Amino acid sequence: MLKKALLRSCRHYSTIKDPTKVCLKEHLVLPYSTSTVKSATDNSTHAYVPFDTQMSKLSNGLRVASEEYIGEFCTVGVAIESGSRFEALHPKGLTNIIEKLAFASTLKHSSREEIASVLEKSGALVDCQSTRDTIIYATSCHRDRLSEMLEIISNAIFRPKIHPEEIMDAFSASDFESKELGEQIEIEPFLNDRIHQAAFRSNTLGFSKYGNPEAFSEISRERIFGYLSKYYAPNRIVLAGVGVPHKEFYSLAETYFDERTSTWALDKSILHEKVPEIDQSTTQYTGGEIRKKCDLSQVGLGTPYPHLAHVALGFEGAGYRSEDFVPFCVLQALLGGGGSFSAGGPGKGMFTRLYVDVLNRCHWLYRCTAFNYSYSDAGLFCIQASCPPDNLNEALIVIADQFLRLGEGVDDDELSRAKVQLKSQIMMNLEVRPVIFEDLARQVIAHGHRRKPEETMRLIDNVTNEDIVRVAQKMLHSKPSLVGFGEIDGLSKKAVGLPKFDQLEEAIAQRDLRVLIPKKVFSWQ
Amino acid sequence: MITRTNRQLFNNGKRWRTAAASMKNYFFPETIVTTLPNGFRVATEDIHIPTATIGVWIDAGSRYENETNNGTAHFLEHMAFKGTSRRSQVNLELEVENIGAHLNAYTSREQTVYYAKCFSKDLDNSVDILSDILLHSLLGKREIEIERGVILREQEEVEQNFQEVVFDHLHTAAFKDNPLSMTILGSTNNIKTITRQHLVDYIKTHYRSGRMVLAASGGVKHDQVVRLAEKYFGELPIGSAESAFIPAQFKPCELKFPVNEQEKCYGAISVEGTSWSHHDTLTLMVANTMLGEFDRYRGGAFSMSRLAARLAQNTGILSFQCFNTCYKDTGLTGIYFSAQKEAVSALVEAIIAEWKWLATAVDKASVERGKKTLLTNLLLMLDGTTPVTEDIGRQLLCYGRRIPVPELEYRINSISVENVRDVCARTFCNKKLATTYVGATDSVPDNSGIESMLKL
Repeated sequence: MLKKALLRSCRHYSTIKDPTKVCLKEHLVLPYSTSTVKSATDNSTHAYVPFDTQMSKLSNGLRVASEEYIGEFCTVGVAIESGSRFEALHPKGLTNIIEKLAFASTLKHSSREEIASVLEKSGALVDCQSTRDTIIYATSCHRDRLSEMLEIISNAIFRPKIHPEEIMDAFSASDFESKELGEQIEIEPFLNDRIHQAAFRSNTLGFSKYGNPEAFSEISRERIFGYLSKYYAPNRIVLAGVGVPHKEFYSLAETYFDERTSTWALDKSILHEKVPEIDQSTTQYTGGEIRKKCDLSQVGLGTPYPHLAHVALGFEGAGYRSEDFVPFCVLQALLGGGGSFSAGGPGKGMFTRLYVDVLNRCHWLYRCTAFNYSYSDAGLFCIQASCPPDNLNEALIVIADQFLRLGEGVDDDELSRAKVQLKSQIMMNLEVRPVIFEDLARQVIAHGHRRKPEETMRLIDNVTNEDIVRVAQKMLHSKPSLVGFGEIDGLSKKAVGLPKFDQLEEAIAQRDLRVLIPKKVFSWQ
Repeated sequence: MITRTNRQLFNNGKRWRTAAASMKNYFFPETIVTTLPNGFRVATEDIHIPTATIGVWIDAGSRYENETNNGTAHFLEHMAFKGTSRRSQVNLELEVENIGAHLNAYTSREQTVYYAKCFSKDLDNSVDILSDILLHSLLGKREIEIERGVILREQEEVEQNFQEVVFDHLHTAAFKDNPLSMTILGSTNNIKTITRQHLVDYIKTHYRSGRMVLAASGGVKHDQVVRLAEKYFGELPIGSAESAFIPAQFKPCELKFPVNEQEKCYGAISVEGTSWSHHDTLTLMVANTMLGEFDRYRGGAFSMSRLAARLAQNTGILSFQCFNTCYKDTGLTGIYFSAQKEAVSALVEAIIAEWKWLATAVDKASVERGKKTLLTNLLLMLDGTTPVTEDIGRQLLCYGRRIPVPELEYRINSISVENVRDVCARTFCNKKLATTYVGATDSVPDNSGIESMLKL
C-alpha cells in the first residue's frame, strides 16, 4: 500500500511542469509547503488583529513598540524627538543637514553606495524625513531581512561617520531644496514653513525646517556630533515596527540599539567643546507677519498653471495633548477646501465650507485650504488661498470672514459630516503600512503609549457645536499670523494689495472686516 | 450552482515538503471567489479592518467599440456621477460625502472600473450606489451636452501630453484595422456626435453578468458581499465578452510626427509583447525591471540600472521608461523616451545593445537582482485596500482568478538566466518593430537599421 502511495506521489511529482512554461491562468501546485503561513481569515486565536500593539523598553530607556500586520513585508524604523524647534542654541538649519546626511557612511558601511547595494540585494527601501519636532528613519523590507535592516537603521542614527565631503553634499542638497521651495507649483510646504515663522517668531516652532545657506559656515562635523550626542539619546527615541513579531523585534533592538557603541561614545574627541544642553523652552505663540513680494510669473511655465499670488492667515491652535486638539481636527475637516479643479468623483470634501462658501462662489480663487498643525505644547490653525495677484486682498477678506463666521456655530448636519469625514480619513490612511508605522511611533512619543484608533474615533464623536464655537473664539483672541507671497501689491493700477498688519489685527479684534475693503469699491454707493 | 475556488489551494502543497524554501510565519490574506448562477463573479479578501474598497470591474472598454461609437465607454464614465432615477446628482454627492466614502471610476482599452472606498459598515449602501450609477444613470440630455464640453477639454489636455500622444499613435498603427487601435477618448468628431442612444446601447450590450466582477478588500465578509451581489446585480442580463471580442494582430510600423521648432524628440520603440496570461509575461517583466528607468528631472535614485547609468552620462537624454503593455491576446513591449534630437541615435544604440545583452549575455547576478526588485515592487504596491482591490479585480478579468502571492513568488523565483535570454531573444531579436516619434524627428534612425542591428 505504502509503495503504491509513494509511486503515485512520485508520478505526481514528475508531472510538475517548468513554471516558466505555464500559462498564468493555470493554478500551479507549489513543490513545497506554505503551511507556516497563517490565514488572516482564520477564526482561530492566531488570526490577525489590527492595531494590537505591544510595547516594552530597553534597559537604556529606548522604547520599542510593534504590531503585527498582513503579508510578508514590514515597515520598521525610529522616531526621534529632534528637529528645527530645538535649534535655539545651534546653527539654524542644522537638523535639515542631519536629515540630508541620513544613510551615508557608517562605522559598518563605508559609503552610501555600499548601503545601496545592501538595500538592492534585500529588496528594501529606506527613507528619512524630519518635521519641526520629530525625525524619522524608516525602512520597508521583507520580514526575512529585518535583522540587517535594523542594523542599517541603528547605524544611521548611532554610528554615522560624517565625512567632510558628505557634509558638503548635504549642504548642496539642502541649498537646492530651500531655493526650489518657493518656486514649486506645490506651494503649500513653503507657505506652511513661513506661517510658522510668523506665528512663533524667533522661537522653537518658528525656526524654519529648511536649510539656511547663510549658516552653513557654522555647521561643522563637531557641532553635528555635539547635537546628535544630546538629542539622539535612547530616552528620546521610539523604535516602532509594523508587521513584526514583538519578541524577535525586541531582541534585535537590544543587539543593535546600544548607544554605548555610538560614534560619539567611542570617540569623545569628535564632539564640539561646548555642546549646548537640550532646549527645554516652551513654545511662545507671537503672531505677526511675513511678506515676500516677488515675481512668480515664471512658476509652472509651459503648463496651464496661471500666475498666482498666495496668502495664509492663521491663529493660535492647540497642542496634541490639549483637550482642544480633537475639536481643532474636526474644525479642519469642516472647513476642508482644496483646489478649484479637483478631479474625481464625490468624496473629496465637496460640501466643506471652503468649497461651498468660498471656492464655489469666488471663481477667481485657484485653491483654498484649511490646515491644522499640532505639537507637544502648541498649535497653529490656518487657511491658505492662491489667486491672481489683483485678487489677493479680496482673498484675505474672504478667508478672514470664514474665521469670524465660525463663532456663530455650525449646523448639525455639517458637523456630523465633518466628523464622519475626519474618521474615514484617519481610518483610510491607516490602511497603509508606512502610515500605521508613523502613527504608532508618533503616538508613543506624544502620549507614551499607542492611542488606539477606536479611542480617537470616540473623541471625535464627542465633539459638539459648543466645542467648535469655543475653539473658534479662542483662536480669534490670539494675534493673527499672516503670510503674503508673490505680487502681493497686485499687478494692475486698480489693485489694492494686502492691507497693513495692524489694520488686519484691528479688523479681527473688532470682528468687522469692512475697514479692509478699499474705499474705491464703495465710491459708487 | 455556486462554485468556490481558491480556498483549498494551500493544502495541495503539503505533499511536497521535500523541496526547499522556508518561509517565516506571517498572516496571509486569502482571496475567495464565488460565481453567481448568472455568471457574475464576486472576489473578496478580508483583513478585518474597519474600512474597505469595493468596486465593479467590467470586461469592457474602448476595445469593444467601433468607429462610430468609439469614446462611448469613456463618455459613460463621465456620466456616472450625474444622477440616477433614484438619486439626483446633489443627493448622490451628499449621500457619499455624508458617509465619508469616496467614489471613483476609470476606463481603459479593455476594462471599465467603478469603485467606492468606505467604512465596512456602509458596504450595502456603497454597492447600492455602485449598481445604481452603473445600471440606472439618467443620462440626461442636458448633462450629456455639459460633459461633451468637459471631455473635449480633456482631449485637448491629452494632446498636450507627448507621452499620451506617442502611445495613442503607436496603438493606431501597431493594431491597425482592429478596435485596439482606437483611443479611449474617441475622435473629436465622435465626442461631438455620441448620443444618449449610444450610451444606452453600450450598457445594454456590454454590462453583462459574465463580464463583471464585484471585487472587495479590507473589512469585508465574503458571504455578505455575495448577498449584496445577488441583491444588486442578480438581475443582470446574461452574457460574456466572447461574442464581441475581435482578436488583434500586431503590425510593424514606423511613424514620425515632426513638430515645428521642437528641439526634443519623444518616442516609443517597441516589439510585439505578450498577452496578460502568456507564460513569458513575468520573464519580460523581470527583463524590463533590469533595464529600469531614468528621469533627469527627478534624479536622485539610490541605485541605477546599467542602461540608466550609461544614459545618465549623456546630458541630451532626458528620460526613458520601459513598458510592457498587456492585452487579452497580445501586447506591446519596449521603451518610451524623451531626448534632445542630437542624443536620439546614441539612445537608440544603447537600447539595442541592452536588448542584445538581455538576449545573449545577461548574467545570473543581474537576473537575481531583477527578480528581487520586481517581486518587491509588486508586493510593496499591494498596500491599502484600494490597490489590493484593483489587483483582485484586474486579475479576475485577466486570469480568471487571483494568483496567490506564494505562487507568484514561486513563478518569479523559477526564472533562470537561460529563460531570460531565451524569452528576450524571441521577443526583441529578428523581429519587426513598431516605432513612433513625435517632435524633432529628422535624426531618428529607420526601423530597418535598428532591426538589422538586433539580428542574432
